[in-house]
Amino acid sequence: MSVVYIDLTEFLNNPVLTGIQRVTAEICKWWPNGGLRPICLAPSGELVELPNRLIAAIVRCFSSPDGAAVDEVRKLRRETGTLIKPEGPESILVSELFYDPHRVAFFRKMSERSLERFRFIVYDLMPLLHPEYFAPDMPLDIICGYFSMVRRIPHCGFISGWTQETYCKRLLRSDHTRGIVLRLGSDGLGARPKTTATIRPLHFCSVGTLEPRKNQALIVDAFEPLLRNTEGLRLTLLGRLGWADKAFIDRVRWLSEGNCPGFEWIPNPDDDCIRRHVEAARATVYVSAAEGFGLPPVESLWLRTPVIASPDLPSLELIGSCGVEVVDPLNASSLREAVLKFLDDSYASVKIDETGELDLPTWASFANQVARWCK
Amino acid sequence: MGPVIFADLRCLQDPLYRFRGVGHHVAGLLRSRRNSRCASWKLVGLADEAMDDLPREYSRLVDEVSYAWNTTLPRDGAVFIDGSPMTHDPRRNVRFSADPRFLNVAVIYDFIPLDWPGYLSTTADRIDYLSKIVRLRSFDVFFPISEYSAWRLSEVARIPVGSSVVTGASVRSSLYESRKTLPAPCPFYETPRPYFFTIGGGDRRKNTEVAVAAVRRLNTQCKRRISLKIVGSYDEAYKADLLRVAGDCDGDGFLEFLTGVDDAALVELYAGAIATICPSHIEGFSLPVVESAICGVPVIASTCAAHLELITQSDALFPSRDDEALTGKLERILGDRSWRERLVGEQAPIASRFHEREVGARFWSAIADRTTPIQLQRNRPRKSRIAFLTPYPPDRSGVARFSQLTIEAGTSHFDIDIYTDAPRPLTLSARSRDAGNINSAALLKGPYDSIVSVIGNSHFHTRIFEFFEQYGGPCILHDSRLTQIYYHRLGADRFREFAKSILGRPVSKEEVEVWLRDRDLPSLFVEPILKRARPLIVHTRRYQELLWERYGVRAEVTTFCPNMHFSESELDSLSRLAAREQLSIAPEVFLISTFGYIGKEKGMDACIIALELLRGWKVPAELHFVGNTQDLDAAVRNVAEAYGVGAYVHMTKNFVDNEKYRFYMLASDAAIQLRNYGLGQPSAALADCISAAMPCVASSELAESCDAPEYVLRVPDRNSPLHVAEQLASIWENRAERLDRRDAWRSYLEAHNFDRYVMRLGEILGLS
Repeated sequence: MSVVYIDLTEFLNNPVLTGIQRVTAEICKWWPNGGLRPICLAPSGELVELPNRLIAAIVRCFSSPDGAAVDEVRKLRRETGTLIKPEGPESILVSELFYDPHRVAFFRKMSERSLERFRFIVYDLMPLLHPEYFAPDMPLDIICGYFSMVRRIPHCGFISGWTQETYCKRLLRSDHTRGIVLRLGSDGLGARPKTTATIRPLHFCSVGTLEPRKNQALIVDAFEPLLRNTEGLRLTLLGRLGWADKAFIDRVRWLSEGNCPGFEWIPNPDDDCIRRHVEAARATVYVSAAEGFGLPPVESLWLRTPVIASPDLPSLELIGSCGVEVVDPLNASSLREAVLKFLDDSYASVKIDETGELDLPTWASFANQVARWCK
Repeated sequence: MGPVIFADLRCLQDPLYRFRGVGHHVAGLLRSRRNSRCASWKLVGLADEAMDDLPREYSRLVDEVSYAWNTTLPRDGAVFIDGSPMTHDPRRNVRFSADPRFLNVAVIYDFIPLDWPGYLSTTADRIDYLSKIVRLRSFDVFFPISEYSAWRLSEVARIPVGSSVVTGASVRSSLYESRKTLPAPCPFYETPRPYFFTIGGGDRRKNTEVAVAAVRRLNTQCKRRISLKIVGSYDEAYKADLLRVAGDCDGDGFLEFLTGVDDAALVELYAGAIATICPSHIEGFSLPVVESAICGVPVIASTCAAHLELITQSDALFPSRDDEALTGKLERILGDRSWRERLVGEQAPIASRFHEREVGARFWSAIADRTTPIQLQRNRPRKSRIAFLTPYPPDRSGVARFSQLTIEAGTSHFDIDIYTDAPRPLTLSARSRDAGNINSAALLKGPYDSIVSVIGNSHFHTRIFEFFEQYGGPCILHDSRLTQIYYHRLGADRFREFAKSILGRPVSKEEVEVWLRDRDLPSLFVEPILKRARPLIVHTRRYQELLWERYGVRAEVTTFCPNMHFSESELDSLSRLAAREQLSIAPEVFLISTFGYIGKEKGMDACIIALELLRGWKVPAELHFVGNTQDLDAAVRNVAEAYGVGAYVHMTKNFVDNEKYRFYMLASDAAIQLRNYGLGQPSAALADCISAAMPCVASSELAESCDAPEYVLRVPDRNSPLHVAEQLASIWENRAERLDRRDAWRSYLEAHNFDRYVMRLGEILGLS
């Protein structure tokens, strides 16, 4: 059984259970045949191995919502670890995105030879490509350190072909494609339904943090006149408040206080809640302006619910139009037209049926792919 | 088109005057303009922002309300009207009174403060009043409201009689209309409670007590109870005095005090009276005499000079201190109806003479007679003369340099005087003159066709702000927001108060800190400038649009120009190499410069990280910050070291002299000019780069504001180091000689040069 280290420094320092940390947790959960050992960068600037029970604790952070697992992770973090040799045969998987200048400097100072054992999963280059979707006073000197450093990493895995392409063509400015694309799992919300209803109520939902990039304002603009004029139509936004415009937040609150029939906002949905809404929906809506991947559409398709999506979503790059309705151009009018298509039972049924034809990756297949890549 | 009329409207703002005699008279004059020979002339009402708002019914009397007391001399001449020259601070008007090319007109009411005791109780009051009298000599024509006032004017101010046109006081037409609609009153001898009527007020010279005493004696003698109705505001002490004179307690006797009387009620009061008593010791004009005549009621008046002009019936007059004589007149009018009727008939013609239409016709006709083109153009030099209030070299600011270049180009078209607080000596071109430090002397000297304030967002403009806030006028606004200068001038606490007054809500310290970084600005903090600028001159169409969108203000544009100019021969490769030698830059280096002071808002970090990306792409780039580091040297070093490019980042640290700046312009292969706030603000540095035909990478809005040609590559305003690096890489990969951009370069310079700037400035000021 070959050993692969997984660098959990960021998770251990800030266990806030982000989407990226979820990926780490899924790797820990589905890693085949054991052999995944947790390490972190100690304040001394050396890599240390921590107790193996940390792997299970990290998995439990996402499966048990009571916070006990997070406490356990914090406690295990404080244990004195065992130094690992700088030059060793084991691969070191870094599945995290981090901005900590000390950690960036650690990798920056490393020789090319030493970097050979590392495997970095790269999610996106969003701060470099779309700074407009981040806070105006985003500290560039801190944020860009990771991206500058990751250029030197010889072995990178990318969560989408789009991320791979932008990394190679723009960050490296090379015509040569390198690295591997690792397909994230679609089954985060549970097992795939064996059967599904093809005639469903006129319910739609959209999953994602409320922020400008996710375009919820566009969704509300498209839906509001339909909700006010279509009997039985419902739209549910599932997601917490992110960095959003105050006027939009006020609008969502006002609509959800009974001022628009069929409109609902659930700010802190757990996985069960999300699953229930997605399964029951005639379609989910995901019209993000820019993504590194975009998990909700594939999770929707996994649960046999079609998705209305913006063009060129990386998570749908291999799926095409099967179970997918692309909104192009991306504006309220086109989105409204797409929704109206789904109000037709026969059309909706066809798209629901299409979702059954899809062969979608799972977290297990993702973890296996990562494991193979690391060996 | 005709001359432009400027009218000082402060008497219509001041609550002490606006709805009393002075205010009614001035309003009547303005109202009657539209039926006069001056109807087509533009009338600009000048108001004081620190006073009460101009009532709506008065603002409608002018074509425009302005807060700019420093006006450019209109091409077809100008008239300045001071409707109340003895009341408000005359320094506001000095632009007009000091320039003989304005026809200065003054309305004269009286000199009662000089002629009657009790008005000028302190030495300061006396000095102030006398200085206003002296200032009257700067006017050209006078419009006294009576012969008496005209005579006093000639006596106290030594004004020749020929300079005066007596108009009389204007009685508003609404009073005449109210009289027409009033039903015929019941004859007084048929009413159960006949009364005499008088209009007074808290000023003791109005002499209400003599009317009270006379009516009391009449009632005693005749054993009657004839009322005396008194309109006017009296304080409790004066009222008590009048009641003592009447021998009555309030409400018990024959006195009836009335206040807040509108025109309809006033006319009714007049019309129902036995007679109107006008007992004043002294007046400039007596409106009650005219008003009484309008209402067909006889007047018994004191023998003050103003009454003698209007009342020719000697038997209707009495000495102001003789209540016994007045009693005799009242008794006679009570019993002798034929006498009363005779007085009514003989006094009736007074009414029509002082209708505001008639008074206004006399006023405007006299003005029109004095405004022939020859008269207005007297002493006007053939070449226009302009004063600039501006920073100027050796002041170290971009605006100083820009003004210098403007003035150098401008001297071909204008004679220019420079008012500046820069250290002396100034570097002057021929035909421009150092006129001294910045202060209101610019209004007194000259005469200038235009006095232009150059306003910017730095401490160099502090004194110009002080001048401009007082006098307004033509303004070149260099910076699109003035947050920092107001903060500097006002200090933290007062700036918050200032912001609160603009935003209409409380303002926190934390918010202000964000605004000082040019983030999330709820206002551009230019409101005080917008209010006073006439015209407002800006440098980009984008900013012009922004001002219209945000404030509904129309600004004029004269497009921004580069401060630096290069000949074609300077732009060849030999010049480039020579400049590089001066700067010790190796030939193979891809030299990238960013010009201007360093700041986070100017993409300091993005520039350094972009350099790191370029070097990672094997581009032999080096980055030079050319300009003041603003104490950010250490921050620059830290970021550069963190990204492993410390050896390739250089700073010039302090203000760069022209020569070195020029070397960098010639030596650099590319420039980066970023800014995280748009606001239509031009960039002198970017304009200079364009002038040097240098390829640049610039924020999109900045490039558009500067009308940048295609060799300025754009990046989004929310800039990313990757965007910047990619554009720089494109410049590197497609590197070409500067003169290969000749066409675009020439085309830009044809539209952006100081000759054109000055010509346009002249057009805007109406001086071309």
